[in-house]
Amino acid sequence: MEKIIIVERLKKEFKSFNRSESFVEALKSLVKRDYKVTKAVDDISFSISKGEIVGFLGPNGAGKSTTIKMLSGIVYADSGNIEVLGFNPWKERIKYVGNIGVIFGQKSQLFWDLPPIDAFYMNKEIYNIDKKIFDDTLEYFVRLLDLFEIMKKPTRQLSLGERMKCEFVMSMLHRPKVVFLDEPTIGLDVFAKETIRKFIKDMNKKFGTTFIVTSHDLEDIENLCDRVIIINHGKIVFDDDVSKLVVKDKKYITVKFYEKIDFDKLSKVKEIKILDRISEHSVRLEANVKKIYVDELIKKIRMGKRIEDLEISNPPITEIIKKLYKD
Amino acid sequence: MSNLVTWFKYIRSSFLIRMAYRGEFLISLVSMFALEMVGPLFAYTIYLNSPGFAGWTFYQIILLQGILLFIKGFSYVHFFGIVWNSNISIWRGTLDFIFLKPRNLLLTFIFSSYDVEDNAKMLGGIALIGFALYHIEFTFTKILLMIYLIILGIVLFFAFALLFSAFIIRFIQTWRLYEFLEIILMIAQYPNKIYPQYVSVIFTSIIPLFVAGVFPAEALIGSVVPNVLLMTFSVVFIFSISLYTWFNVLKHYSSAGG
Ligand SMILES: Nc1ncnc2c1ncn2[C@@H]1O[C@H](COP(=O)(O)OP(=O)(O)OP(=O)(O)O)[C@@H](O)[C@H]1O
Ligand SMILES: [Mg+2]
Repeated sequence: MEKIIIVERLKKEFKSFNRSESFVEALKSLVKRDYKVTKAVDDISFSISKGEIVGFLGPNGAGKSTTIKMLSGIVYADSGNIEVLGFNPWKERIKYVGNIGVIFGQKSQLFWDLPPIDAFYMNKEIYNIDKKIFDDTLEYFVRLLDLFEIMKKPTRQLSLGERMKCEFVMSMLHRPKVVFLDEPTIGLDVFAKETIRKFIKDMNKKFGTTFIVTSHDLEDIENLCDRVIIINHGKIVFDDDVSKLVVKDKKYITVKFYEKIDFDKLSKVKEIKILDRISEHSVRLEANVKKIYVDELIKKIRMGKRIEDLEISNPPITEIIKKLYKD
Repeated sequence: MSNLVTWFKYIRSSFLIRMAYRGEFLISLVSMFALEMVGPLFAYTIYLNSPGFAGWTFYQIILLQGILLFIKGFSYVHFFGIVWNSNISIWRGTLDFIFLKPRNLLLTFIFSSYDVEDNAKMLGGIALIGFALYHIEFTFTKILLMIYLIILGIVLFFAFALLFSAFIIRFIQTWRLYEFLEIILMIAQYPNKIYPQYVSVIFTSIIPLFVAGVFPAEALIGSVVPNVLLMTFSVVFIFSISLYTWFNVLKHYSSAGG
């Protein structure tokens, strides 16, 4: 596949200046200011193909937003290189940004006191969007997101979910080829989240739009993305298919017997760890299945007793991610 | 051309935004207009007792007041909003968005900072100038020189707006810079003769504040305006530096965490 985003050895440091406590310190600081350096993005490289939806994960302060801001030409990198759609975001900003869309879930691009529709028309001028294309696109979005009434109300009267739908329209009316979404579902309820996810998928299918999405909601990532990049302390710690985010050797087992469990005997099974004695009849276990087939393991746990209920699951994605975040 | 259309769209939406609170908007327009018209009358009584204005007539003083008001009003309406907008958008974190528009950064920022309300000042200024000119005799060259100096004054104010905006974006949010502007206007409204020699030299040639007030009026009245060429040079120089500073600061913009 054609690579349309190429990031090479990207770095960004922030200097935060310490506030002076006393007047004398303040005077000194005029000559030499004390500061602390944060390595927000520390030497990351990756590339993304046309039509991908890539998830960007990482704990608070990992450097996700900073990366998005550099990709979209807002913040200059200290070093390293970015090429998106063949453009350098800083050197060719004006030509470049006409081809991308950006949403920051926490900030609004709409006019607070005016209806979203006014802001849409403003973008028509700013992006020089052809009238026919604009009308078609708007109509399509309005139908898809059910915005006919909403977009005529002043923005300040909209609910968060309604506003977020309009933010999407705002940043996609010019039909960008690449879209960066920084926490697009933050604060939304399950229904609004679904709508937004469906919209992203539709755009991806219909127009082949490439997306980078950051989120703290793993459901977003599991639902939307094939590939996920995890960053921590400004470094990439994982970059692969979402399906690879499983630990193959570990299972969670919840089992319920008709008879009482002999916990002493159970704790001697070496492949398992008892997580929770739910009752005298049921127990939750963590099992290492590296060297044993699952059916054999069950036989060992069962010890000839009859099973009423049995559930075997993979470790949830959150757990793997927590582990990646910790390192 | 398409920048012009965009500009009109922004002006339109600024109007619409203010019209969302129609009552408040009208009241503030009317009261601002009234307030700005009372100012010059007060100024006149003060000026009568000021040695700097010996020999000035009532209409000449009204002319001076009109020019001050016009330059201030024009600047506020068209570009001084960027100072206010710098504070607001740093605070809200929305400055990021000007980078996302496929337009010149400064134009986008200026357009989105259009200030409807101060049109009252600008119109007040035009009204005063018109009224004064009706009663003062002048020649074509004199009025040309006046207009030229007013334009220089506006460019100088533009430079100040850029520097203030750059300062706010780079260092710290502050509303204090508006007071600074008022001080500049205050200095500019008295004839340079009343100031000590060195102050007068600084503000006529190095940072020619007087072009934003007393010089255009004197040009029309027929007093000699010193060093127009040097003043032009200084204004262009200050303006270039401001422009460079502003774009440089935006290049180092670090946004905010989030
Ligand atoms: N403008 C700034 N000035 C100083 N430090 C900053 C600035 N922006 C970000 N940082 C710091 O850089 C680091 C990365 O921040 P960033 O906003 O990229 O994190 P994030 O991954 O988006 O986190 P979150 O999930 O909380 O949004 C943090 O330590 C943050 O404090
Ligand atoms: Mg963030």
